[in-house]
Amino acid sequence: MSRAGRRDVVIVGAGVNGLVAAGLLAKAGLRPLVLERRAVVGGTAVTEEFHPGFRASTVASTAGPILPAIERELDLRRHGFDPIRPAVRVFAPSADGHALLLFEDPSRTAAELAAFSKKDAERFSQFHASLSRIGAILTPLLSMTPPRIDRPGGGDVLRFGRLGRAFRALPKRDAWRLLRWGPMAVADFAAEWFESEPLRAVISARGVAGCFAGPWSAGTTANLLLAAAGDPHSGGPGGFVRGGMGKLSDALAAEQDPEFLSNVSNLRSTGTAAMLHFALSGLPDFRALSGKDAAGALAGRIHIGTEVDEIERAYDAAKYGDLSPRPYCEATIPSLWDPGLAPAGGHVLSVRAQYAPFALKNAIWTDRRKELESAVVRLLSEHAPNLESLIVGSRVLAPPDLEATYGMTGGHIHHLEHSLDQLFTMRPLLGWARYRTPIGRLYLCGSGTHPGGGMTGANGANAAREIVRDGRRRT
Amino acid sequence: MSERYDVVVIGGGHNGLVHAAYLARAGKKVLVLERRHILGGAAITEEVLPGFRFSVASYVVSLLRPEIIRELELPRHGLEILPLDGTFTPMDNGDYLWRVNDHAKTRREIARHSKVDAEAYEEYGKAMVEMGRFVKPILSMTPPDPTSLDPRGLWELLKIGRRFQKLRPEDQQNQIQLMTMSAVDFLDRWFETDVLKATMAASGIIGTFLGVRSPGTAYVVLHHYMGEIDGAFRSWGFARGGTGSISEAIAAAAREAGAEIRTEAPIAQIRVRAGRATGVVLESGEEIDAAVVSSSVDPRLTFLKMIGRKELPDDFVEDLERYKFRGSSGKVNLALDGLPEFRSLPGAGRHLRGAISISPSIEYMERAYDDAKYGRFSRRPYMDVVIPSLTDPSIAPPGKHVMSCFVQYAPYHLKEGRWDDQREAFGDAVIDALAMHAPNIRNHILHRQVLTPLDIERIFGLTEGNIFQGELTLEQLFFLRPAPGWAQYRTPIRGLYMCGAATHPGGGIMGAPGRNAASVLLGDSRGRRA
Repeated sequence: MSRAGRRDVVIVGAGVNGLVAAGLLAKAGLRPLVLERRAVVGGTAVTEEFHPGFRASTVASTAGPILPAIERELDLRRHGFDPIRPAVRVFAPSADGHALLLFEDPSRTAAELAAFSKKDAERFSQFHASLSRIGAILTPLLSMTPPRIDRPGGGDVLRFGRLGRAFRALPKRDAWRLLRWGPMAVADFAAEWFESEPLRAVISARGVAGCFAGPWSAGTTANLLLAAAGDPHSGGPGGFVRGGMGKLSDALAAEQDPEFLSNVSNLRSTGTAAMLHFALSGLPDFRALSGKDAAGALAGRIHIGTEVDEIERAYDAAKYGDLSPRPYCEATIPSLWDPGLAPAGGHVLSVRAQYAPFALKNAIWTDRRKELESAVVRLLSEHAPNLESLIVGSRVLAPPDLEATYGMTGGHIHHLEHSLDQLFTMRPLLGWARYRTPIGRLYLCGSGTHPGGGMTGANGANAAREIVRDGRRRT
Repeated sequence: MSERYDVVVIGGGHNGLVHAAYLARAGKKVLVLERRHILGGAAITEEVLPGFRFSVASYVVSLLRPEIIRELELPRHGLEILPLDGTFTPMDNGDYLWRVNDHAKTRREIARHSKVDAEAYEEYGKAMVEMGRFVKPILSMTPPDPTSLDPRGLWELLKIGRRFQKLRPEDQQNQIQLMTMSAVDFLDRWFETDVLKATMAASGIIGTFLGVRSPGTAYVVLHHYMGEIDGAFRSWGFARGGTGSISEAIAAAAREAGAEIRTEAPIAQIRVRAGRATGVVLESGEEIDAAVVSSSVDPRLTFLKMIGRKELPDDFVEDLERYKFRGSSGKVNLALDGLPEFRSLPGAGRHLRGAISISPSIEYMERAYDDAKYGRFSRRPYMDVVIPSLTDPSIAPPGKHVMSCFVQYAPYHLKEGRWDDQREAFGDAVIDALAMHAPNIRNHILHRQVLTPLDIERIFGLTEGNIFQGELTLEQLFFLRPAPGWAQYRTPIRGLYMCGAATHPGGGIMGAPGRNAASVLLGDSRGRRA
C-alpha cells in the first residue's frame, strides 16, 4: 500500500488539469502523486479505439487551446504534443447547397462573407479586431486566482486594481462592449454585428457549446467571451492535436507516474451534450463542396445549423427533458490531417450533438441512444447524402456514458455549467473560488474551478500556484 | 407664445409629472406637454363603456417610491391605495395555490403542497428583504460611469462594493445569483412545489422578452418585490378610482407647485441649435422656447423622431438603434355582468380580490415563451388578472365588474401576419385560457378591450409596445440604461435631459427616473456642471 511512500500532494484524477497541476507542482520541487480511476490518463482528453482500427478523441475534440505558458513550462512539444491548426476553422453547409467558411486568416473570411452579405464582410474585420482586443484583456484572467469579493484582502484589492487598469486601457467603445456583452444572449450579440443568418448561427453556437442553454438564453455571450480569452480568434476554437487529444495527456503525463485508484468525486451539473463517433470507409461528399477542395474545407469544425432558431429549437426539447429531434451538431474529421487514426482510406467522424439531456423525462437513456444516432445521421445526410453508406461502425456517448466512463457527474463536459452565476469568483462557489476548500489542505484543480472547462490547463496551473504558495507559508 | 420656460417636459406620464413637480417645487418655470387628451401616459383610467372605468394599461401599484408619495404629499392630492390581497393560482389538476398577505395563513396553504416549502418560504422572505435592502439605495442613485476617470463615479461604485462586503456571506451569494440566474433556477434553491415556483417566477418575466428559465429573470423578480406601501414589504394595491388617480394626484402636486400642464399638445420636433436644445415645435407649428428640454418619452422617439440623426454622434445613434424594446405583452380589459367562477375554488370568495395568476406550472410558462420566441402570441398565455371593482365599487355600475388581464407573451414582431388581423384571435386565446379555469367567464362578458403590443405603441407612444420603455435585461440596466455613457439623465445634446422609464432604474409606476433626473438637472443648473 505504501509503495510510493509519503507524497506532498495527491491529485485525484488524471485529466488535463490534474496532470498540469502535477507537472507544475513537481517543477516547484514537490512530490505529487496523480491517481486515476481509469486505465488511461487524460480524463476527457483521450484518444480511444471505438471501432477496430478507428481511434477518436472520444470527448474533447479541440485543444483548448492549452495556455502557451503551460505548454512552454512543461515542455509539451518535446513530449510529443503536436498541435494542428487547419486553415479552415469552420465549415457550415446550409440546406440549399451553399456553405459558409471561416478561415484562420480573417481577411479570407471577410472575402468569403461577401457572397452572403457585403455589409457583414465589412463588419467582420471590425468584429475580429474588437474581439481580439477584448480577448486579450481577458486572457490574463484565465491564469489568475479569482480575487475574493466577499472579504477582500490587500492582495485582492491589488488584483482588482490590475483588472481595473487593463479595463481602462481598452478603447472606451470596447470597455462598454465588454460590460454589455457578458449578460447578453449570444443570439442578440451575433445579430448586433451581422445580418446573414448562417453567420449568426455559427457565432451563436459558440455561446452554447456544452451548455444547458440556447442561443436566446441571456448570459450565453459570457461563454463566448470565456472562449475568446483562450483564443480570441473570430472563427472560434480551431486547434487540434495530432494523434488525438490523448497525445496532449500523454505529453503531460510523460514525466509522471500515475496510479490507478478509484473514487473521483465531481460537482453537480447536468450535461446536454452527447459525443458520437463514426468509423467511415471513405470521406463523405458534402453537396456544398462539390468541385471544391473538400479535404481542406472539412479540416476544421463542421457546423450543422443554418439558423439561430434551429439551435434554439434543439434546446427547447432539452428544457422539457427530451432529445432534440434535430440536434445542433458540431463535427470534426480528424483523420483528414491525422491519417493514423483510421485504416487506409477510412475516416473518423466525431460529432458533438446538442441537446441530449442527462435526465430524460419520460424515458431512460438505454432506449434512446439509437434514436439520437439516427437523428444525427439523418441531419448530416441532408448535407452529405452518401454518409450512411460509408458508416462501418459507431459509438454513442450520451451524458450518462460520459458520467460513467469519465466520471463527470451529470455528464457535463465543463463539469459545472458555464453560466454567469458559476464563473470567476463564483466558481464553484462564492468564497471558495480560490482553489481552496473548507477542508484544510484539500484543493480543487479541475474544470469546476475558474476558468472552467475547455482544455486550457489553467485550472490546474492556478491551483498548483496556490498550493505552492500555501506550502511556502506553512514552512 | 413668446413666453420662455426654464424647462419643457415632453410627455405627461407619471415620470414626466413627477419630474415636473420636483422642478416646479425648486422654483423652475415648467411646462409639461402631453400628446393625448388625458394625462398619465400608461397610468390612466378611461371610461371605455358607460359606467365602467378601466385602468387601461398599468393596473396595480406597489413600486411608487415612498419618498415621492411623502415629498409630493400625494395623499393630500387625492391618492388612496387600496390593498390587493394575495395571489390565487388555479392549477390544471383542480387544485390551487392561494397566497395571502396573512403570513400564517399562507404558510398553512403552502404546507398543504409541501411542508419543506412552507419552512423555506420563511427563509426566502427574509432573504428577499435583505436583497431589497441592498438594492433599494441604488434605485435613487445616478448611475456612475465606470469607464470615466471621474472620481465621484468611482467612489459611488466603491460604496456599492463596500456595502456588498458588509452583507452576510449567504446574502452575498444570493445577491450575485439574483443578478445572474434565471428565476426558476433561483427559486429551485428554495422550493420544490412546481406551481409555487411558476407563480413566483412569473414576476421575473414581466415586460421582458425572456422565459422563466432565462438567466437574468431572477433580478426582475426582485424588481417587482421591492414595492412597498406604508412600509409593508411586497404588497401591491389599487389606486381608488383606477390607476389614473395616481397620475392625477401627481399632476395636482405639480400644478400646485406652479407647473403648467397642457394636453393635446403633440410635439413634432425638439429644436436644436449648435448642439443645444432651445425648445420644442408642436405639430400645430407652435414653437415654445425653453432653456432646458426634458423628455420622458423613450429614446427612440426623443432622438430619432424628434431630433434626427444628423444632430447626434454616430456611436450614440448606433447604441440607440440596438437598445431593445421588443414588447412582449398585451392587455385585455373586460366589462363583466357577473364574477368568474373558478373550478378549483368556486364562489365569490376573497381569492377574487387579489391577483389571479394563470401560471399553473413552470412548463406552462416556458411553453408560453417558446411561442413568442418564434414570433407568435402564446396559445396558452401567462396572465395576471385582477378584478379591481371588488375592492373599489366606484369603477363599475352596481353588480357589474371590471376585469383586467395582463397577458404575456404577445410579441410585437409577428413572424406571420399582422397584429391588426390577429387582435381578435389573441383576445380569443386569452378568454380560452381563462375559461379553462373559469368556464362561466364567457357568459359574463359585456365588452372586451384587446390591446396588442402594436396598440400599446399606437395609444401610449411606447415603442414596440414595451411597457417599460425598453427591456429590463442586465445589459440595459444601471449604467447601461439607455445607452453606454448616457445613463446619467444627460444626453449628447446640451440642455436636453431624459427622465422616463428608459433611464435608471427603469419601468413600472415607480417615479424614480423622474425624481432622479430632476435632481441631476437641478444640480447642473446650479452650475455644478456647465
